[in-house]
Amino acid sequence: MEKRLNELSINQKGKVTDIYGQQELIKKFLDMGIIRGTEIEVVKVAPLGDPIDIKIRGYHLSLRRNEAVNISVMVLNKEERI
Amino acid sequence: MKKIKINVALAGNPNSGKSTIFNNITGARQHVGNYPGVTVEKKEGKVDFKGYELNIIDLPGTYGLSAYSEDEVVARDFIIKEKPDVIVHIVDSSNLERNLYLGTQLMELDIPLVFVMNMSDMAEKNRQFIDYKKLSDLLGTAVIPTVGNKNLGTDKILDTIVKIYEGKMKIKMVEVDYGSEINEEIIKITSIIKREKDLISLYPLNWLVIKVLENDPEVMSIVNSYATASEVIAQKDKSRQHLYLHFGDNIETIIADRRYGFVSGACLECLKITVEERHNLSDRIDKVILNRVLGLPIFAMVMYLIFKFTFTFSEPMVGWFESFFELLSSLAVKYIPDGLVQSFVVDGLIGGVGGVLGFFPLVLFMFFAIAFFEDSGYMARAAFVMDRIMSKFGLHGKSFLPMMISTNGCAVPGIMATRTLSNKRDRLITMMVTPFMICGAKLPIFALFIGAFFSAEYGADIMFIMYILSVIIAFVSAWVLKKLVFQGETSHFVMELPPYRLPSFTGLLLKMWERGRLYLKKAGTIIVVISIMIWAGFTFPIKEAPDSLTDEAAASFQIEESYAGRIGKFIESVVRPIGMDWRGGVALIAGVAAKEVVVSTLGTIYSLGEVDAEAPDSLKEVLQKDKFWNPLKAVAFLMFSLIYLPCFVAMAVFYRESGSSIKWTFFLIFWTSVMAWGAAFIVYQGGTLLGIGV
Repeated sequence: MEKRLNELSINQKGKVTDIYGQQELIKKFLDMGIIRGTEIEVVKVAPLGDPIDIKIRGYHLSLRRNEAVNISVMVLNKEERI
Repeated sequence: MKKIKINVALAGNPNSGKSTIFNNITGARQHVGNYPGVTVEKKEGKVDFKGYELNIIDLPGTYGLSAYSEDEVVARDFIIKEKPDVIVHIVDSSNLERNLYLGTQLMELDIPLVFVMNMSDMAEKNRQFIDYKKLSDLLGTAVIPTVGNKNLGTDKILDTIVKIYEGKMKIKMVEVDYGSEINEEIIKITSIIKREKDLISLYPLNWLVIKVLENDPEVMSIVNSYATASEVIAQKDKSRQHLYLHFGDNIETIIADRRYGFVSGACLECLKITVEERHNLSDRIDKVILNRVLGLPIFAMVMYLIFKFTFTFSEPMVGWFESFFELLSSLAVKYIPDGLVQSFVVDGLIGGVGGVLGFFPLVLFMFFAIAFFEDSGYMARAAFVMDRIMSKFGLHGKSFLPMMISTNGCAVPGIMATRTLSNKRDRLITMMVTPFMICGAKLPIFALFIGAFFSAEYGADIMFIMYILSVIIAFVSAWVLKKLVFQGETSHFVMELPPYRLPSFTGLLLKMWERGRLYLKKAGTIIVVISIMIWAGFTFPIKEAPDSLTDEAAASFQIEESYAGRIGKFIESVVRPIGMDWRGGVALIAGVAAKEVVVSTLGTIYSLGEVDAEAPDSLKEVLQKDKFWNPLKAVAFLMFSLIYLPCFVAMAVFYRESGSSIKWTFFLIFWTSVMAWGAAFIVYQGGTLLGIGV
């Protein structure tokens, strides 16, 4: 199932299928290692609900929800209850 | 004999331990400055090694080398224009993939490149084992494992640099293979650009071509000034179109994909991960620190700690400076005869230098505290916790700290604290609104007027409302600036949350000292000069007061006749609509020297002689009895004091921190004046209309 990154819940994993947005944002994503095929796991959500903390290529990256909406992912696992 | 100089640039991702390596190499022989015209810090240091003098430049930490952020432009411009002899790429070994991505771009710059695998112990601890020999073969250059915080491998880095410089170590850089489709287009563009002999003597050819293909705005503007520009652009557009049709994706993405492909390939061969740890120590700490319930209270606590540390612990040092300058003043009064020279030395010179040094301990202590939380990895988390609120107003999660340091504290270290922000827009907006907070020096003005015109039971409430107002004004102001002034300039929050680390004490001390020194050197000189100018404005022209006047009345007479007094009278028509006469105007002008001076100047104007800003009881009574003032005018005056120009020390620091931008400094002056006048106007005229407080 394909979703936008901001729609993933905590502990859900996805594989990047596409990135959108302004050139500058795309470039930033690329620099940080978000390209097609990269695996992303949503680790945490900030106490106020935004931004989110994701794990990618073995490190943690935070981004705002309105930035995460520009990344579409193929969901890899079902939502886990915590 | 003069030593041969080798220029070395340190490049690397943020949080790769680059600064630690830099400190290890240069020790105390380093200094921090600013790159001209930008807000980016420039760190340079020297070390003597095997008969050479190595000049080390610590480039800003970046993840890539595109033209979108100031940091990246500074880093790549330095490499391309200054052409260092060797580039040292500092890599966080425990995060090989993303770090080496920068390396693939450094490889294209035609300068000998050395890879330093820093924090190699951390990698092993995480059960990631790197085959350095194999990696070195794959990359075609030296690969040196180091442990920065234990100072392991530092000599090996220096040794390698010298060997490469002497030609004793041959390196044969590999290049990323972009695939035949892209390579064909690269060849086409190369054949055109090659004809521009001047151009390719200035820039590495390979790099130029790839940047043209990527449609890099900076490189395109360089290419544009050459004869073949139209040909290059035509070919570029054709190539991009062709590749887009072929790959169904834009070329930047494909190039990044190839680079990551190269890195992944290298990692696959050289990196063995035995057990992938699900939750390391950092993750477990974050479970608490970023916890939904505990996250905000912990944030508040850390902010409080930084504030407390900055202002409480620096107090004794501030006290020493104060007593020292008081002693100097009393000596000057004793040994220099009464008159102009004495006044110049005491009020102009000692006042100015004392003013600079008075803030110095604050700057030092604050940078120590900030450096601690920055290096430990918490600052990124603090931004993560606060960003939701701040971003609504065009600010960044990290904007909170400068504003908080300013509240009840001081805008000078507050403005300097914006150094934690890396995006230029975020940084300028934060710098612009930080002075709106009620700093410690504004408190005496509030105490005086609230004490004089309101009964004690409402005093605290009014003070509280003022605090709330200052926050609202700062936030609304940030929002307006975002919408009007910085329209179209974006900022993002794509930010690494680095693993927690224990900061090194020497690293913290160096950071503190270098930034403190920067304050003294850069802002200090401006501050002394302006302090003398303000002194002159209140002292000249010297008018002989009639003999009938008492000393206090003579002082008041002198202010009225001085240039500052004349300006006050001149602007009376401007301040009348906000409920002030020339006396208020002059006091506010004097307040630009330091906000608490508003109180002492009012004292002098009302012929009270020296009034203690901390306990102005006599002044309170005079204001109460003066028919001119009423509670409404007092509130309008407070509104104006709350918002108008920051003191000139803060303005000097603003000027320096904005990249020595006269434009932005004047904008700050304009912005705060207009806002202050508008707010006071609304209060005074609105109150008069409604008949409140008159």
